[in-house]
Formats: sequence, C-alpha cells, structure tokens
Amino acid sequence: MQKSYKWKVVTAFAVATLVLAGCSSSSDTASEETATDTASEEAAPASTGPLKIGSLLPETGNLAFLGPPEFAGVDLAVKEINDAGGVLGQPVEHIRGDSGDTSTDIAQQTADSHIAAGVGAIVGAASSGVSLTVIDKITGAGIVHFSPANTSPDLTTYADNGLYFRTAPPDTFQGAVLGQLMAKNGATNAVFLNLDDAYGNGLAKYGIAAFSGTSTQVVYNPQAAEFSADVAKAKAAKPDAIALIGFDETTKVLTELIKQGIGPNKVKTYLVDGNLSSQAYKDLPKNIMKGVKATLPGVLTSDELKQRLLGVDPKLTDFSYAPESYDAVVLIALAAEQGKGTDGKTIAANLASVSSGGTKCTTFKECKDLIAAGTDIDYDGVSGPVEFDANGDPSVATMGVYEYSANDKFAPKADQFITGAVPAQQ
Amino acid sequence: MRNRRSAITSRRKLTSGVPVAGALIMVATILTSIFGFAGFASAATPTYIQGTLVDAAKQPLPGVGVSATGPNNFVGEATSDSQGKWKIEVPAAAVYQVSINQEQLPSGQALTDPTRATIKANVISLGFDVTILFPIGPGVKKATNVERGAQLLADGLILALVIALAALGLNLVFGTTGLTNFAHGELLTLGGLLTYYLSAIAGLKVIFAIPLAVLLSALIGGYLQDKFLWQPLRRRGTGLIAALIVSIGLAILIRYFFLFIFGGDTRQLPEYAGQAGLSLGLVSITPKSIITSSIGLVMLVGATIWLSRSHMGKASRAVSDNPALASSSGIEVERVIRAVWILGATLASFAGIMVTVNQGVSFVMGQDLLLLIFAAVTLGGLGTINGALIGSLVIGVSIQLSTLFIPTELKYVGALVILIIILLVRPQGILGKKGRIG
Repeated sequence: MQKSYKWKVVTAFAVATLVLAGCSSSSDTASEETATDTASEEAAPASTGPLKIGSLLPETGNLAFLGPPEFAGVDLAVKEINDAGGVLGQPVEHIRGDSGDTSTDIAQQTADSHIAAGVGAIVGAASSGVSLTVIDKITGAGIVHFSPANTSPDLTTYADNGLYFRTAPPDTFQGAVLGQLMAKNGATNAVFLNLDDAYGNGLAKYGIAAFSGTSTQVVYNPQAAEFSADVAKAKAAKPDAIALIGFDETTKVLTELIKQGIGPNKVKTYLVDGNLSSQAYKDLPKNIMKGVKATLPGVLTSDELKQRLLGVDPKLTDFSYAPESYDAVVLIALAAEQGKGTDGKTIAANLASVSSGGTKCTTFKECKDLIAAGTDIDYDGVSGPVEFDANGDPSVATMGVYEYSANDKFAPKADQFITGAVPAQQ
Repeated sequence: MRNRRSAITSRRKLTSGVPVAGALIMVATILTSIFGFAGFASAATPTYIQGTLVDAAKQPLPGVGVSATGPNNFVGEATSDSQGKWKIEVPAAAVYQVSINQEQLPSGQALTDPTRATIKANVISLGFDVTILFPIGPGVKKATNVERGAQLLADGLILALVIALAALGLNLVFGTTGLTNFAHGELLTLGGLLTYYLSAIAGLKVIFAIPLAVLLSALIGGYLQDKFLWQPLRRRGTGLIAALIVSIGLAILIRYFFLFIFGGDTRQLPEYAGQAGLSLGLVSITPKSIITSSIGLVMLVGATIWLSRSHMGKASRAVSDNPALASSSGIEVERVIRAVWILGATLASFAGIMVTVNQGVSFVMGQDLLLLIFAAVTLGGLGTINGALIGSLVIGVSIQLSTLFIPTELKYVGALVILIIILLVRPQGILGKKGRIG
C-alpha cells in the first residue's frame, strides 16, 4: 500500500503543477499593488539624474519577429539623442529587456528589473496582452509605460494614472480600415479568424463592425497544438475573404487553410500588423502569398530612415514599428527635457505638450534647441504627426495598406496611406 | 487559483468604471481633431460612399434608392444604375448613416438581414471611398454539421495518433519506474528540431532526414537521457516526487535551450510545406499527412505487438507489475527500463515529426501537446499500454468534434470535461486496475 499511496501523491502533484502552470501567466496582477506602492513612495519628485529608458520588447515568444526593428528604433533614437548632447546634459541610458509573450513570465521579471534600476520610462511591450500583464506594475511605480506597438482598444480607458502612452493607434482605426478594405475589394461573405487575446478580439470586433457584408468570427487559442477544427469552422462559412488576425502562429493557420482548400490562392486573404512578415511564409508553396493584402499602422518608412536603422542593426529585414519605437524614445526624451526632470511623473506631464500645439519640429536636436529657447514645440515624428489625446492614445493616425508580391516580399500599395481621426470605441 | 480570480475581478472593475468618461473625452478629442484637420481635408479628392446592389445570383438590381445622412444636416441620395451601382459624394470625413429603400427592391428580393437596412459608414479620410454592402437574398448556406463533422473526425484521428505515440512512451516509463516525466513533451520537439536541422540546414531530403532524426532522438532522448540522468538518480534512490521536480526543471531547461539555439518563431521544412489537401469526399487531407499517419500507425501497432509478444515486452510488463519480484525472478530490470526509454523516445520523436511535417516546428511544440498527452494517459489508466491508446483516441476525437457545439477557442475544455466525468465514474481510468491507484 505504501507504493500506491506514493502514486496517488504523484498524480495529485502532477495535476496541481499543470493547473499552476496554466495560471501563472495571468495570476500576477493581484499581488503587484503592495509591491508597487512602496516603490512609488521611494521615487523622488523631479529627479534630474541621467534619463534611463528600459525596453520591454520581444526577443522571444510569438512576436519575436517584431523585436529586431523595434530594438533598432530604440537604439537609433538613443544614439541620435546622445549625439545631440543627451537629455539635461547627460547621455540617455538604454537598458535592454525581453518581453517574451503571454505564455511566459519574462515580462514580469523584466519590468521588475527595470523598476529596480530606476528607469523613468519603459518602452514596450509589442503585444497588448503582455502590456496588460505589466501595466499595473509599471504605472503603479510611477514610471511611464510607453508602447510603440500596442493596438488593443482595451488599453485606451485602462486606469493607468495617466502614465500609459502609445504611438500606435488603437485598433478602432485598423479595424475600420481592414473591414472597409475587404468590402472595397469585393468581399461579401468574410471570415475573421483571430487569436483569443485583447489584441485579436479587439481588432476582429472593429473589423467586423466596419465590414458591411456578412461576417463570421472564428476565435482560436494560439497555444493549441493544431488548428484543423478552427479552420474547419471557417470553411463551413464558405467565405470569399478571410482576415487572419494573429501572431507567429499564423504560419500554422495558413498551412491548415491551404490543406482544407481555402488558402490564399483560393480565397482573398488579409493579414494585419501582428503577422505581416517577410520571413514567416517564405517556405510555403511558391508565390502562394502573392496578392495577399495587409494593414500596418504608420506612414511609409522612408529609405533614408531605413538606412539609418540598418546602420544600427545591419541584419534588419522588416521595419514594422521601428518608426513608432524611435518616436516613443524621442518623445520621452523631449518631455524630460521640457519638464527638466527624468522621472516618470515629469515625463508623463509633458508628453502631451511636446506632441501637439506649438512650433513644429521633426528631430530631437531641432526640438531641443526650441525648448532651450523657451518655445512650445509640436514634435512630428517619423511614424506620423503623433498627437496624444487625453488617454495617451494618438488621436490622428496613418494606416498603410500593403500587398505581397511574393512569399517573402510585400510593398505598400500606391497611395494607400490613409490618415484620419482615430474612431471612438463603440 | 484564488489569486487569479481576484486579478480578473479587479481588472474588470478597473475597466468598467472608466469607459463612459473615457468615451466622452474621446469624442471630444475626435471632434477637435476633425476640425483641426479640415485644412487638408478640403483640398482632397472627391470622396464617395458607394456600393453595388446584386441579388443572390449576382444579377444587378437597378432603380433602388440609397440615402446617406451625416453631420451638419448632410443628406445625400442615389439610385442604383443598370449595373446595380450607386454612389453618394460626401463632403467631410465623418460617420454617416446609410439606408437602403427596401420597398424599391424587386418583388421576391429582400435583405439577408432585414435589421441591417441602415448601416454606419465611417469615412476615415477624404479620398478613401467607403464601400457599403447590402447583402440581398437568402445568404450563403453554411456547411452542415455532418460535412464539418467528417473533417473534424479525420483530423481528430490524426491528432489522436500523435497523442498516442507520445502517450505510450510516457505511460511505459511511468509503469516501469514510477516517474511522471514532465520533460516528455521536449522529446517531441527534439524529433521536430532534428528533422528541421537535418533537412533545412544540413540539406538532406526530408524523407532521409526523418529516419535519421528518429534514430538520433532514440539515442539522445532515450539511451543517453536514461544513462546519464535517470539511472544515476534511481541508483541513488531519489524519491518519486524529487524525480518529478527534476523532470519539470529539465523540461524548462531543455525548452529554453531550444529557444536559445532555434529562436522563437515557427518554421517550415524545406519540402512539403503548405501542401494542398486532396478532397476525399467530405474530407480534405494532405498526401504528407496520409503517409506520416500510416507510418505512425505502423509504429504504434508494432510497438504494441512487441510489448505483448516479445520477451523484452513481457519483461517490461512484469517490471511494471512488481519490480522487486521481476528482479528476483531473473529479469534485468535496468535493461528493461533502458529499452522502454529508447522505445518511448522513438515514438515521441515521430509524433513530433508528424506535427513538424504537417504544420511546422517551434520550440514550444512539445509543451503545447503535453497537457493533452497527460490527459490521455490519465484517462486511459496510468501505467497501462492499451489504456494510453484508448485515452488518446477519446481525447483527440472529442477535442475536434466538440467544436461543433462549443466555441473553437475552448476546444480543449470539452475534452477535459470528458476526462473529469470519466475519472469521477472510474477513478483508475478506463483500463486502469482498481488496486493500482486506490
């Protein structure tokens, strides 16, 4: 009986471990408040030490392909700011950090280590789901949480003490463009196949709202072992257009779509910012991605900016969200410069002011000189005009429409950059 | 679990209180920004809300009125032309209400959804026309549950086979040594990664890379793993719980080692990626899937026969029943355990290869399947060979078929509910022996 008792314990333990593993990614928000309260008390008002910026960007996980351009954007901005004399006369320090994805706990550890290092602002995360797991911790510590790529509408009205900002527009905008684009291209019966998280559900909701034909939503778990049932449900709707809203797992979804006979060669397929990649689909059958369209927030990345980014990271192949990351860092630096303080509260208080109303300027050096002369500035960045509304969201944004010409090549469609006011939530 | 629940409720509280105020502010900002941008707006090209009215057979419907209303008392009207086309020019970027005059539709024609006679059109930017569809006719007939069910059953059987290949080894190791191996999922990833490296990097043909990857997995994941890790632990008399924790640590270590060398993305093999399916009646299935499944089935049946007929197989069952008695009756227990590890690693690596060939390889591939493998083993009966097979079949098929009734993002839930119900009735699993657990 001794042995069978042991087995019982082992089984119970095994089940408990699996349950715990399942919970770990989302169980952290509750315990944070106590930890962060003490941290905010310690933060001295209007600190004037060197500006420290921590990055919380994906080196690993299902958005890892977005990491290199975003890091390059941050690195380039820091380099150019320091070349122009730094902030408050001192060089800006960039502390790199990995955000992982929602299935790992890396973002928590990175945020903790940034907070311990006394950063004034954290740039990240790429995934809205990841940002939602650390936003309480970061904003509770009085640090600016600035994402270059979050697009979930949930973050617009989140209680963030006025410390959360982003240069990417919420998906009320991308959803509207995506849905209208599909209708314009002649789709009448669309399927929106989206991953089950804040980003996927939000973008699909606004895409469906803007698409005036018949639409079917199929939601999938991105950690599923395979996607045949999800694709079978999409196929049952007999769609003439499919919008794929997801991250890295889109490759697996695409192979399943092709298998069940509704691949991009048979049904018009649309991608979004989360899966627009030049690397992910290169091994799929030749030219199967040809004609696939995608939406990506931001103005066209100029060749000149691409060259500057390549100077920081010569291995870059995609530039998604590099301009937004660059602008995030420049805006943080300008806000610190104008507020004469490198702590989170000072930066947050000045971000709206440096982004709108005043003399327009487009580089850190130009803006800094204007600030030194006592002029109110309006920074227009490489990602667009950047004007923050009261929620820290851009109120005006630009959406680009891209089209694949081969599996590993996509280019913006001629005059398909749509600039307008970001629609309100419904 | 308590933590988690409170986290969810607190988040809900945070979001639910603010939206009204937030939305008001948002509307205010948008209004200001619209007027702020009126400067470049007026200079832009004429902008239309437009559409084409067609019936279910795609025939145009002329002479139907469509109207749009918008801010500043804007009213625009249009009638569909001989091709069913209509368009209304709008003066500014704003939200318009577009309505169709249903009474002007020819007799016998009606909107698919009569409640959608008025649709909101958000003109984001001047120059970007908005197309508004008024679907007319009965709408597209969705596939029936029978049609969808056939596809789901076929994919369920393939998933069941993958789970069974992995579960058999896990169950054998548990039966002979008592170890609940949480690092078993990494054996699947090992098989997939080796196939990727041998084909995409070393340049071998995939059909040669696969057997080589299986052999290497059996050597590294079976023979070497047992020889240098688990056998020394057994010799030192490490307790089962300590060994379980070691396996969890090992799983994390190996997973992040894979991440370090392979990266975080999903990659496809250089051949057979994105193969189109053959349409066999109601079912689409790829040739590569038919071939890998057939090989997997042969391996599974072969392993089962080997376990029930061969000397070594019988010995392994003797060891699972009672190691001390087996040892004293002349069975070399350590040799049997080594054989079981090698067999388990071989089968698991092929399960990983099946997944890799069919949808690509990533470093978390094994972890994604581990929960299902454990569910299958527990359902069938811990430590029993046929139990693992039956458990896999139930889990694999019920995951897929349950999506006919529950949302796809919850597809694992249906299978796990079945697991809980069966365990309530038969705590030892479907084929487990009663005395073994209780």
